[in-house]
Amino acid sequence: MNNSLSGSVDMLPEEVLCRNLIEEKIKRFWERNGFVMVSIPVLENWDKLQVALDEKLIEKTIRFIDRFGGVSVLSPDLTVSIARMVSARKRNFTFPLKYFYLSDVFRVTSEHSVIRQCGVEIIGADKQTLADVELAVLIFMTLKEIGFNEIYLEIGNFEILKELLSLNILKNHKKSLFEAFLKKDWVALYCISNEIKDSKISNFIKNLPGLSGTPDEVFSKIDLVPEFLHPSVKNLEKISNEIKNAGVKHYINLSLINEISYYTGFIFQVFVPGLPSSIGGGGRYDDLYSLFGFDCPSSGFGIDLDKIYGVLKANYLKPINIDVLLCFNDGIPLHWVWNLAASYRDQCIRVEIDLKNREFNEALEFSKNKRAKRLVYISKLESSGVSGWIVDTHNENKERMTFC
Amino acid sequence: MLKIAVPKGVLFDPSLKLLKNCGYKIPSDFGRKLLIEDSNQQLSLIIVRPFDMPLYVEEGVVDVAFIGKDVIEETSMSCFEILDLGYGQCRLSVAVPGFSPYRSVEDFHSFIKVGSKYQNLSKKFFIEKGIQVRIFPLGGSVELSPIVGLSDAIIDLVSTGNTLKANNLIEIETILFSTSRLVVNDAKYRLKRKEINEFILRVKEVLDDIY
Repeated sequence: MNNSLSGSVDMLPEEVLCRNLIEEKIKRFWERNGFVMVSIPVLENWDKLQVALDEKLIEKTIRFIDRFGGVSVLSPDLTVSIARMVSARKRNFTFPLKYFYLSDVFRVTSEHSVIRQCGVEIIGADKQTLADVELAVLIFMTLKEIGFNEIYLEIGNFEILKELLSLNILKNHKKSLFEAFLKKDWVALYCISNEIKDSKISNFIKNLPGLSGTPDEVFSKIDLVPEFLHPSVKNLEKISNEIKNAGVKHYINLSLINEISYYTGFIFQVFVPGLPSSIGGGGRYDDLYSLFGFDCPSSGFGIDLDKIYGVLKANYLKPINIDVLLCFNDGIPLHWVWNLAASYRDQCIRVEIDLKNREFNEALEFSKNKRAKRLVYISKLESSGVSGWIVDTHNENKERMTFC
Repeated sequence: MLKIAVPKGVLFDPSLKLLKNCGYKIPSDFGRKLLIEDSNQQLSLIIVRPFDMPLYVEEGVVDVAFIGKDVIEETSMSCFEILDLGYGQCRLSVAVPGFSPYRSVEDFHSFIKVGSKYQNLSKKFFIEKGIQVRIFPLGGSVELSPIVGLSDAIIDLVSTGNTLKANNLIEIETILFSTSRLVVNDAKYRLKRKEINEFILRVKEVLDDIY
């Protein structure tokens, strides 16, 4: 992939093939899991979408005024777009819905402006814990399916931080604490917690970053957690047990936080070797749909496909080749060429017709450059059809052929 | 093996001393090498310029780094900021020449010129104050710019204040206090958890003994 313009890339055929192979694998896997694909338009109406976008995301959007004077935005977040779509057409559905997408999103950052993403959404599930477990297991299995052996799945519950920061005694520190958790700034957390008068809460905030690790390590330290947060921790433990029962190794992080503001409860992130940051993540966003006038629980996850290509490229990158290159002499009636090509194609053989009349040796060289497995060279018009040579490009063995 | 980035400059010696106090066998003389290993092959050290460090950390080239808070804030780097290492104490301040009429930033006229290596923090500082300034990005010898008339003020790191004094500059406002920090790459903190936590513990024990 080459940077053609800052933040966007163009892809050569080999790279497109690599991307398609990975995407097809993901698509088939999600279909086998009962999810169906939806398509979201690239262009969205800004007024409709902005109600559900947070400040940080709004800053990154690409917007413009269309010829009717309305403001359009290039889709910055597919979860929000799907929420808009489902909320607008909810009467026709039987819930829960299990959707997936493979698409580009547009956000201006220092690194990119187009991000290739895939993800799933579970909308309107009655048993929310089941949906949470399914998502965590699905993201893990998806990465396994496409070739990652070591996957670090980390789960948390955003409610823990939300409930903690809603305490009246933290009123003056709420903003700075949230920022510190978001920036993973343990030094600031320590300094702020020293200003908190309630020693139990102060100690808990100091200990919170350390409350991460295997489920056994974390849940055995429940005594360090203030009692009013126990229900949220227990809820996470319940989900963790179910994920474990599904055979998925995972880790707990009680201070896990997502910078996208619509998350409400269970959240998770995945990391793989070879990448310096999270490859994907998701969670629950029960309030998102109500922003579009439809009260409906929902959850989902997204995976950054560009990051996946970067790591798995070597496994999937293959040279593009064709099965047969069909060359012909000047004077061969074209209908014979089309008919011969069609007969190959009927057998699912990939055929490229050469658009230039070449001498045999030149045609052989050309077919090697094209990585064609075989060269079919029509050299002569016979009374009943055409004749020529079939050449194995690899060893140059040739065989006479006639086509009637 | 843990990969650690150590900054060139004033934080270099105290960072090596800290590692030695943690029990790592760091060679005392490694010439001009920028990549060294401790003799027990537990650590691989990469010596880089302070402002290049965020890139090394964020891209996961190193697992851990010792880095000034000023650089973390200037570059808005994304990482775990685990420990305040205590050394490298300094402050990012606004300074003006002794002959300047300004004695506080509130006195600044619109569109005055400020020279700094810290463009982002400078910009943020003046935006929050509601003062329009032109920031000149400078790579070094920032103190020179108001003396020769390139700028009206500077924003730069001050530790003892001796350089400012020597160049007849007066510190009028502090933007940020900085010390050296131990930071960890986002993904590495998960994928090399055990190794990194052991390292943090060793550093913590040494710091607890000092402070």
